[in-house]
Amino acid sequence: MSTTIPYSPSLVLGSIVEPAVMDNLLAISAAQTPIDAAQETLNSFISMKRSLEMTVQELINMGLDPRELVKKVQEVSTDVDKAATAYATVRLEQELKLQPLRAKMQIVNAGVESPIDYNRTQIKTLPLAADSLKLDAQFFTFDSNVENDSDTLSNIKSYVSAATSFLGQSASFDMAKSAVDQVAKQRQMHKISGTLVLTVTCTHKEAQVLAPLFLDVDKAIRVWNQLFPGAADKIRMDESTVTQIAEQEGTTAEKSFNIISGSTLGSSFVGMVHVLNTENTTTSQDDESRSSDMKARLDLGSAIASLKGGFGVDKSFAKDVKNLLSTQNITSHVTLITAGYIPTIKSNQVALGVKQFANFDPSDMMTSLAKLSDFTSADRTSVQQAATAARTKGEFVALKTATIESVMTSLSKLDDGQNEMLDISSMVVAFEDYVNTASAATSEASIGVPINFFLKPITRTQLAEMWVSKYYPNKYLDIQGDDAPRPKKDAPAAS
Amino acid sequence: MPSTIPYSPSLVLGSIVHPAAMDTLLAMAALQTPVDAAQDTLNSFISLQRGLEMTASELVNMNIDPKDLLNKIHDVKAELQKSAVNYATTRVQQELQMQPLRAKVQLVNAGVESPIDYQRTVIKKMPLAADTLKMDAQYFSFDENEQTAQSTMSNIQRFISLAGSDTDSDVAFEVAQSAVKQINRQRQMHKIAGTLVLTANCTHRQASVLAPLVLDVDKAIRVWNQLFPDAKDKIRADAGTMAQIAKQEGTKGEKSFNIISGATYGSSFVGMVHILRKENTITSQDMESDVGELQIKADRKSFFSSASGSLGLEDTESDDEKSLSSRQEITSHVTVITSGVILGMASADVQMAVKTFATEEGKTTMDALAAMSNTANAGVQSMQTLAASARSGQEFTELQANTVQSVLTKLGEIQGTKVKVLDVNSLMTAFNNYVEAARKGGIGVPINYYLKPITRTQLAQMWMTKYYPDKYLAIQGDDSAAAAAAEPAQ
Repeated sequence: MSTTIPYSPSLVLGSIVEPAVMDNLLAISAAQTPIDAAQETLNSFISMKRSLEMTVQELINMGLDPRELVKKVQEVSTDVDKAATAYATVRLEQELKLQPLRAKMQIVNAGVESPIDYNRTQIKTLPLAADSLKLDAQFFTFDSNVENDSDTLSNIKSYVSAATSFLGQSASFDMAKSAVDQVAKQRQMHKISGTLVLTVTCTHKEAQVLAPLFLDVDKAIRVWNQLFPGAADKIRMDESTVTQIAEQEGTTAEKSFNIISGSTLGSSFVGMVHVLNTENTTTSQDDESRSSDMKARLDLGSAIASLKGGFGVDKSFAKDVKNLLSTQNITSHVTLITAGYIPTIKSNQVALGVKQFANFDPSDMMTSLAKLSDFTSADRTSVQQAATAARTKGEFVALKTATIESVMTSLSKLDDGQNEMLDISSMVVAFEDYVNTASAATSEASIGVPINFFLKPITRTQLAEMWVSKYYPNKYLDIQGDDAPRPKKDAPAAS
Repeated sequence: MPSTIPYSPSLVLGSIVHPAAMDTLLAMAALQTPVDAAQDTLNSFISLQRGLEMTASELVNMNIDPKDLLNKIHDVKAELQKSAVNYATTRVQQELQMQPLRAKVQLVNAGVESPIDYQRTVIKKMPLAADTLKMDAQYFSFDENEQTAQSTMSNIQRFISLAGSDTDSDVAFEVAQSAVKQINRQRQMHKIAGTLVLTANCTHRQASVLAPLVLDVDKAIRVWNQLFPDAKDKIRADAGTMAQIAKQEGTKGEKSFNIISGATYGSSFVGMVHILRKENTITSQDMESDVGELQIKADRKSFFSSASGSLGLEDTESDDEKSLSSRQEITSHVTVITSGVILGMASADVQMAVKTFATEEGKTTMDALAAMSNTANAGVQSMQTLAASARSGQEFTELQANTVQSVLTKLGEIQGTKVKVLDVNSLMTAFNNYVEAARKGGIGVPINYYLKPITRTQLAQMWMTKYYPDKYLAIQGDDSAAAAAAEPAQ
């Protein structure tokens, strides 16, 4: 079931069979059967387990206590596990045995031409075999999305303000500070994976036979001489040699070669798809803005001299650090081996794209930073007012509440176009096409590779007899070597 | 699994087979099979592993504890890895052995013409073989975008002011400074890589045979004499020699040459694409404006004299530094080897574009600098106001909050030429075309050569039959009779 039908390109209808190639093909097929058998057991156990569970339900619904059955179902469970393990073991072993056999099956071959007279020979399809189908499909898809987000927004304002005065000497001092921090960290992981393992094997009803099959005897003799170059085995095209050969018929040492005169057909579809699409985006944005203001004033006055002065610093500082790393990783692996039919394969579009900061432009970033800075200095001004009020009026005033705005940049999609990719639906489309064609196979439109070779032996005596009857039509017994119609008039020896 | 089908341009239907060319071709095919077999095993193990994982999760869903199976999956993983290593080893070995053989398959060949009578010979298509497909596609794409930016904006204003007076002199001093700075550094790296390795081969149902195959015996004898130039091997076209040659039939040393009388077909598609697109932009902008102001005033008065003086200085300085480096790089490597079919391929348009500083209408760098120094000036003025109030001993007046504005330049794009590149889609399109063509059939290179041996006696017999029709037994050497029968029908 999980194996493809072995096919050797050199074994085609009408061709001369190279015994080693045929042996190899049969060996491959023999090595594959334990795998199929093990998988069938596994699938049968799985379906038995499922069916038994439903029977248990049914019994419960009927008011029966399925004690015994439940016990048995548990035993089945261990058997299922064992069967699965056995399948894996068998397949590992057999695949390794198959490899050297497969390594012998080369795609390009050369051989002596077929002795068939293609001018007159025809391929006839006959419903000799039977239709069958074995299918196993396992599909698994997994989609996960993890997002982490951590945002902080802080706003700190402080002031210190003092004023003294003593005998005409006064000093005052005020300091106001405001700090705004906006920090955002984001992480997104999105993962989609899909796996499909699909195997189908069909046998087909319609068999192919060469009927009528005509041999071109002259061609056949030359082919024979190529295949058996030993002087003793060769055929010489003269009457005496040929009659001599014809008399050797039925001896044990009689050599022969085989041609494929017909076959029944099977087809298989073995495919696997694995698609993995991972998207990963990490961003961090850190905006901070500080604004501070400090002023001091001094007034020293006496009767004759005065010194007045002050100093002040007004600082505002804003900083923005942004980082983004967005990756997208798509892998797909598709393998498909079909025997007997070439299905449609359609690729599908997959979108490429990662995340980016929506406005990644120095001017835009600075504008939003300026906004934050403005907010901070406005904030500081309101603190200052409070400070002044505290100093001069000796009371606190309610601070003006300022509304804070986010200056974080949003993310947008960076479109990188689309790629054509083979994915799970490509495989399913190919599969549907295969199954539809297989079910619609008729004698006119048959599909398949040979799964049953009909071999026609061709012996030296047969060729000798045919040669004699071709060139000396009425001299000897007109023994037929192919489907050529017998001569109308009675052969003298037949009477 | 599928490697490209070896094809020698000299081996075509009807042509005389050069034994060395055929041997090379068969040797190449023999070398490829271990690679294909190793890849088959690898792919089979991959699909086994994936299948078993799904079975395990199915068992878990059925409330079965798949402990044995899970243990076995470990073994499968080990085997899988081994088979992958084995595939790589085999392929490296075999490819190296292939190279000298490939070096022998030359594109241009010359040989003696075919002895076939092309006027009467017909190529007949017969569905003797079978359709099969083997395909392996591995696709990988990677898209990465990295952006980092750092912007700083600072605004510092300060003042010191002092005024002193005694009975006869006044001194006042004031310094105000304002510095405005905007710095931005940003970097963007965008990278897209795509790889597709796609291999497929098909065998096709339709075989071609030359039927009827008619030999032109005179042409064939001349061809023979070219191929076997030794005096004893040559054929002389006279009845005596011919009769003698015809008698040598079936002896061991009988020489012959082969012509290709039929073939079954296969086709293959082996393609690889790697495309890499990198875009890199680094910009830095640095703008600074400083305004400083200094005033000193002294005044001295006595009963009979007075002196006064003052000094003032105002300095405005603005700086702007910008740098940008933006690069776009596209590399693409595409290889396609098809046997038996020629496919249409489509290229994709790629717009080359790099970043630049945009020059917006009415906002030049100078304007930006002027705007910035205005801000700085306004800062100094407000400091001066504060300084004056400090000097005069008044309370500080509340100043209006300064608003800052971005003066940085925006980024724009320079669009370069559109280039045409072959990318993943091109290969995929070609592959889709290939599958369509393979389904339709009628494509392919020979994978199974049917060789027709032509011996010297055969030629001699044919010659005798042609020129002395009724003298000897008319042994057939080709399908002349069938061709003659078919002709009236045509």
